[in-house]
Amino acid sequence: MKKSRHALSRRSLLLGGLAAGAASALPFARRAMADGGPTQRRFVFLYVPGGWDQLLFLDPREFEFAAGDEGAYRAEVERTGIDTGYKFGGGDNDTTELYGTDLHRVAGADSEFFFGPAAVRMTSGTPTNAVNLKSLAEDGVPMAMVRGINMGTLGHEPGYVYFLTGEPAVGSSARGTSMPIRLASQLGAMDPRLGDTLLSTVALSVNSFTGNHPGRYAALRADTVDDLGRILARPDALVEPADVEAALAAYAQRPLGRNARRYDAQGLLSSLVGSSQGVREMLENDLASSFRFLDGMDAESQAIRSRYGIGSVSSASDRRSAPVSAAFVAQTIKKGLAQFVSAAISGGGDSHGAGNKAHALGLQRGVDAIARLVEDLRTTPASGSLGGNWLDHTTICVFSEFGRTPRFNPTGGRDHHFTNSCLLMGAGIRGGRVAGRSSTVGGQAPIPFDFEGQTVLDETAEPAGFMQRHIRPEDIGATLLASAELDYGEYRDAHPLWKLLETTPY
Amino acid sequence: MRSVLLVLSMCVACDGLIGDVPTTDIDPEASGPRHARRLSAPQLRQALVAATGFDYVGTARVADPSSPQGSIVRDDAPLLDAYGASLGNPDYNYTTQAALDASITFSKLAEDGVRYACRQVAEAEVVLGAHPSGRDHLLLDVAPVVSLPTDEAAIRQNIAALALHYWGHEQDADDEETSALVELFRAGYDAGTPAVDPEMPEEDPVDPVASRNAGGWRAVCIAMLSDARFLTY
Repeated sequence: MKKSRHALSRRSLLLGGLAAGAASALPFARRAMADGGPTQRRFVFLYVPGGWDQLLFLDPREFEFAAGDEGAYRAEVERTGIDTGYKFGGGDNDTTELYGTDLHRVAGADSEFFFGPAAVRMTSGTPTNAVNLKSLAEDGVPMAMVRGINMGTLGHEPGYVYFLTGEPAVGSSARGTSMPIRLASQLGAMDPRLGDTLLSTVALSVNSFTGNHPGRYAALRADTVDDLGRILARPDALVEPADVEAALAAYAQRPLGRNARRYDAQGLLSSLVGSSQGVREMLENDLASSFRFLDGMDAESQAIRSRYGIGSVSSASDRRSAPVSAAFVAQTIKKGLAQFVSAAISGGGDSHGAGNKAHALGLQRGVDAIARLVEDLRTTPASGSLGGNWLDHTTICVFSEFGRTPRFNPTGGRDHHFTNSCLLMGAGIRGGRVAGRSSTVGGQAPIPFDFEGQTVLDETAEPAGFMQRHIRPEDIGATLLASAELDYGEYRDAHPLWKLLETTPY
Repeated sequence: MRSVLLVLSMCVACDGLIGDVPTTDIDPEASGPRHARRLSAPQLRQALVAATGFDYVGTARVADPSSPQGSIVRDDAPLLDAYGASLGNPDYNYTTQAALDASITFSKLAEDGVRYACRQVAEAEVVLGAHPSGRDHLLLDVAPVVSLPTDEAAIRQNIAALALHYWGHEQDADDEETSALVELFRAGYDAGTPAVDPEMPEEDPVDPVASRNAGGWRAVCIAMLSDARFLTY
């Protein structure tokens, strides 16, 4: 019989004295523990690889649609140095047929809160998919944007690593800890059981940097959903007859012998006994079956494929597509595999020669998968005593390593640009808000942000003091830590974007 | 000359000081050993080979500089290498420090490796009668045909030898822990599962006693190599 929760697993794993870490709880942490919320919070990091085109998604410009004719548009392009090309950009750039003739504005949100064309695919003037990011935002899903993030790099690896860790890379190497591990480590110090998930952190096609944090928070890393299924299951050839398995389990649960106890001053051997118990429960629960949805003929697998629009999975690239990653994330949360999840959501990749159409097409696939994930989480009741739905307990951060240039290059595509943006959704996020702003002149640095007043400075104003500067990736990390009332001081010189958090007065 | 004398006098003084230390009051048992450390992924792989003579291999994508993609899928890939990142291996690009804590991921992959290697070594030594290396890894102090219920003493003797081999512990043949492992042997023996491919031609059937013995020793092997004492040092 399958069990619905893994509380015993977590407790088993913690037999080795992990509770000692609770002593290091921080003032914020103690408050959080009192309301019992943040330690149960799930965090999802969705990485769109390749550097996305913000003009098509999170940081669009509206002047092209407002221009009466191409002449007026071209004049504006010359004035601003920003060539959106949505409508007058020619065959490879014209997005109006597939994505409509206006930006996707969200009713009831800040006036600046709107998505670019690639956020919503249109058919004859109406959204192709009724559930999309715009409809979700209008339907009450907490969704906030951060614009004008200065990545300080044009390199893929440095940008990717910088956003993942909140610390600038050394060359292309990380020197910090991945955001999920920071969150897990701090929340785990408050309550070692965390969210009673089997594992702490899982990463699909995304790097995970544990740094100096305890290895129990290190991510289970898999390149594909298939790999993960293989790791979670025991091959039939290695399974013993039932009576022998029972005898092996009984032997493994014996108290440590005299010799072993002598070596167990720090609890490592006890922890290994606990994790071995966790393995048995994982196998008994057949968690692997929850990740065989690509090929499974059972009702649940078919429902997952239908919900995420997963069609043919015959090629290796099909099995790594954006919908597959999104479905993986949902299963990880819903089945209690891990509390902190990172996954790559393919979104068109690094296309220097592709115009708006091609880039938007790839990006839209990723965005559509993300919308399906959000819809899945918000329509699935959370398990156990959590109450509400899974999105009520899940914070999602969608990011890429940098943006792309505001003007087309000679081959008709866009190159790397250091100004970036990101999207925050779910638990702890105040919906309909925008923090930060990119320059109104293409190719310039973003407009500095006043972290004290939580407002964008006037574009001509000189930043004054350490609280006025460009938004950087570490501020996103600090915001996520603050959203769970955690200590964000471990990010050097980072300030939360309080205005995006539901518990603050900004 | 003066400095030489000074050094000599200091040495004499030191000697006297050491001689005054009440060494007889130090109880090595009470002070305990150093803290245990978990085997890293490469250490685990080599420890399994040393303990059983077999590597854990299977289908996985592995690095191959000669491939256009930089990696290929191999059916005989060393899996403890292939899953190295999940086992805590540093990549020496982003980090140089191995993660050596206990985790469910480590236990799962380590136990899979142990089960594979134990299956191989039991089949080689118990069913086929000889380890490919020519050196016994499992039947250290017992013949393949020795079995329950008549030869329990011999089985106990071999388990005690395995405790020293796998864990580095002196363990008596009549020790409580030995008895627990004998019960495991009994469970494997009673299950009586074929230790080799059931599709083997009928003209070359598996000796049923050997098959049952292999089941017993396989269970003992899995239990001992999955034990925290094997996975730490």
